[in-house]
Amino acid sequence: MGQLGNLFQILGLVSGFAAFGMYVYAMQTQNKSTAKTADMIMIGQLVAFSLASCVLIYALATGYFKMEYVAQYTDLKLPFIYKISGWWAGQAGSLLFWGWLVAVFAVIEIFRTRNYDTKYRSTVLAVSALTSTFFLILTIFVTNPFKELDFFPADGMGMNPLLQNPGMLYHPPTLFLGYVGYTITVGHAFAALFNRDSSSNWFVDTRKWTIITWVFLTIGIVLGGEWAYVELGWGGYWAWDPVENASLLPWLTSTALLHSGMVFERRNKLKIWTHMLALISFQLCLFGTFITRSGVLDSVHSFAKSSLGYFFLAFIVITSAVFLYYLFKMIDELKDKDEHQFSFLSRDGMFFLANWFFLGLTIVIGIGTMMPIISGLILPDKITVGIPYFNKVSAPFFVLILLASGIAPLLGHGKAETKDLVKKFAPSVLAMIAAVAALVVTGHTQPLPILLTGFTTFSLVAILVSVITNVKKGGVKVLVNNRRYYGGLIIHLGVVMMAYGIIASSFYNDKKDVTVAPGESFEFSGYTLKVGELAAEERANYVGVYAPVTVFKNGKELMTLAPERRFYEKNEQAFAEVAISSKLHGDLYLILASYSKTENFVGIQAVFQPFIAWVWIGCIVMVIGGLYGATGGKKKNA
Amino acid sequence: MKKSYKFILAGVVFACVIGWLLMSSFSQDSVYYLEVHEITKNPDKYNQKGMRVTGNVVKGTITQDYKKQYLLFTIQDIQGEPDTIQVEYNGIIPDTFKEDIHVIVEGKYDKEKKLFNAETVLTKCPSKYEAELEQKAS
Repeated sequence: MGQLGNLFQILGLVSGFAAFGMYVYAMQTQNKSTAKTADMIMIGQLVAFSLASCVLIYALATGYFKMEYVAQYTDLKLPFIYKISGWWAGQAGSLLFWGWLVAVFAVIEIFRTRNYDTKYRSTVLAVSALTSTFFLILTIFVTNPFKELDFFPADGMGMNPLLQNPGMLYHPPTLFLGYVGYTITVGHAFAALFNRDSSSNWFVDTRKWTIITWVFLTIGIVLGGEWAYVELGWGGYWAWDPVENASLLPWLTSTALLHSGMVFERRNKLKIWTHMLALISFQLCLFGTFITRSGVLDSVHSFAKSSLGYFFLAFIVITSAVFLYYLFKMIDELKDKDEHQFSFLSRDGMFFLANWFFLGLTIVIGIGTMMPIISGLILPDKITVGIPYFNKVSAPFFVLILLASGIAPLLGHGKAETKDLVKKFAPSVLAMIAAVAALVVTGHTQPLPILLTGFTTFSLVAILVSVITNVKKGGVKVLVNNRRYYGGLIIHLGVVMMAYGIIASSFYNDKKDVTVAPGESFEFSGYTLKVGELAAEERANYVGVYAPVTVFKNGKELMTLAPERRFYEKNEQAFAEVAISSKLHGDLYLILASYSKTENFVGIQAVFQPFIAWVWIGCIVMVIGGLYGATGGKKKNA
Repeated sequence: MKKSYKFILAGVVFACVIGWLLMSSFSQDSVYYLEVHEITKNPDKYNQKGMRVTGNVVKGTITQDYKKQYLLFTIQDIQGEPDTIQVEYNGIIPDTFKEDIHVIVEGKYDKEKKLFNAETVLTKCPSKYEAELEQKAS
């Protein structure tokens, strides 16, 4: 079966090279029939990719353990759905999955752009063909999912229990979708450069691609956090782990890209910015994979060390160099001409500042993440930074971004009058003062969360004021007619909700570790928790031991939670399965940290995370806003 | 022209702020990133300094008490050196902690007691089974 999969991979590789070559030829000669043939070959590559993937899925589903990859990530008892998820659970499979997605997107783009200028679309598709083929090079020559062992193991190693969670089914695919879509965006950005077209057409044309990709990236990142929260059992959702950061970086730059592109489209400014942000977002997606796969940084997510990193590095350097070469060739046409019409106190000015804030945030997080590598090169000792560093350096940027996101909707596109501004901003400023005062009066003393809450409230009220004044002026129909603008505002509303959730859960959480005998109670965060007798339960591929914990508040019984430890057949160690009671005002989160029947004790770690549900709700609102905005038509000024 | 000065000025201010943020944060929050042999070869230099060390948990060296949430074990250099150090840790023992796995410990090294006081013990695990397969087959 391995040979069959390999055959399809090689077919895909050959067609990838052929299509790339033909597209490059069509880029030079505008030859329509060559481009047409290349289209057919690209479709052929997708077919080959899909067949190879089918072989892999079939092998995973039927437990063909002769294939090393199947043996590494599945076993006989693994639930069927997780066997399928083996496609993206491991290194080799996930690279095949990624490449397949690029090919899928390329074929969609082949049909979407069929009436476009030959030279332009050939450039776009050449970028996709190169990228999808790059992934095939990796899965054929560096880490091949179809490699067969010289014996047939009776059973596989099984999937890591931490990965046996619904999160495994939806987190990696959404994240990959959130990476892969930028291949199309960067393809168009490059095509514009290659064709010496300095207009914003490429951005407008790919706006929907970019937004939808951004939406997937947002969901992917938040789902990753949610998964960590429910599965890893430390009570948090974000730990500034290198791999988490690697997914955040392209999110930051692509968020900047969406803002920068709007100024490009409306004012014909920030052209270089927008091109560069498209390039950087694409490269950071690859860079994220480089970080995870190369083993250069120690991370809980890292795969084993391999030579993959060099391939990624080479691809990133070469493609960036080509992109930059064409960018510099037409830099004079891309430079902003009429700078004197530009005011910081306008919406465009805010977007420009936002570019800097997002880029600054990307730089400080990027430097922190890469610190072990950077310091290893320039200092005598390797140095690393932890969570406090990231919290500290990112906080000022978050403040600035919240502030800018509150100010921008209230400003017009031109320069604002001071008198108008005072009137428009009064409610937001008052709300901000009220929020800060409320926190101080209720006995909160830490300055940072108070400051952050103040700016978040400022932003929230600014959004509401903007909606109310516009609806008053133009009726409810403005909300439908100008979907792009209101889609953006809905996203900002989601960000504000998420900000409240993040501030409250990071600064005001409560934690307690206790060991009690079964039957005893303890007090925690206003609750009384009564720990019951341990019980066990046998499931398909694990045995679970759990401690029922009855929760009382003011003497009233609320519920019984059952934090659990699971023993999987393929692993000697136990895995904690947390019990969470999620409410809008906060989550009660219980971990069965330890227990012993002989010594008669149960160890519970209790965590109270205020407002954490708003992180997930905010994400949903952001997604709704993104999709709503994506349905909006062409340029319309708010 | 006046406006372009404004941009340059904004850029300079921005660069300074980032630079200052980075420098002040690094000086306070950075820790050494070391291999086991670097500490054992140079204990004076790293005595009582914050650091993060990667190592392999040596077989048969684990003492653990779940009730008291106490862990004592030895880690060996992962780059093949024979050097080892003993690690003490108080807190919830990670689920995936066991013999012969890679761990990342963060904390301080005490050269008098020849003991590493770990504040956190991270086990490196998900999706990393490679090498193990052959062992199981033999």
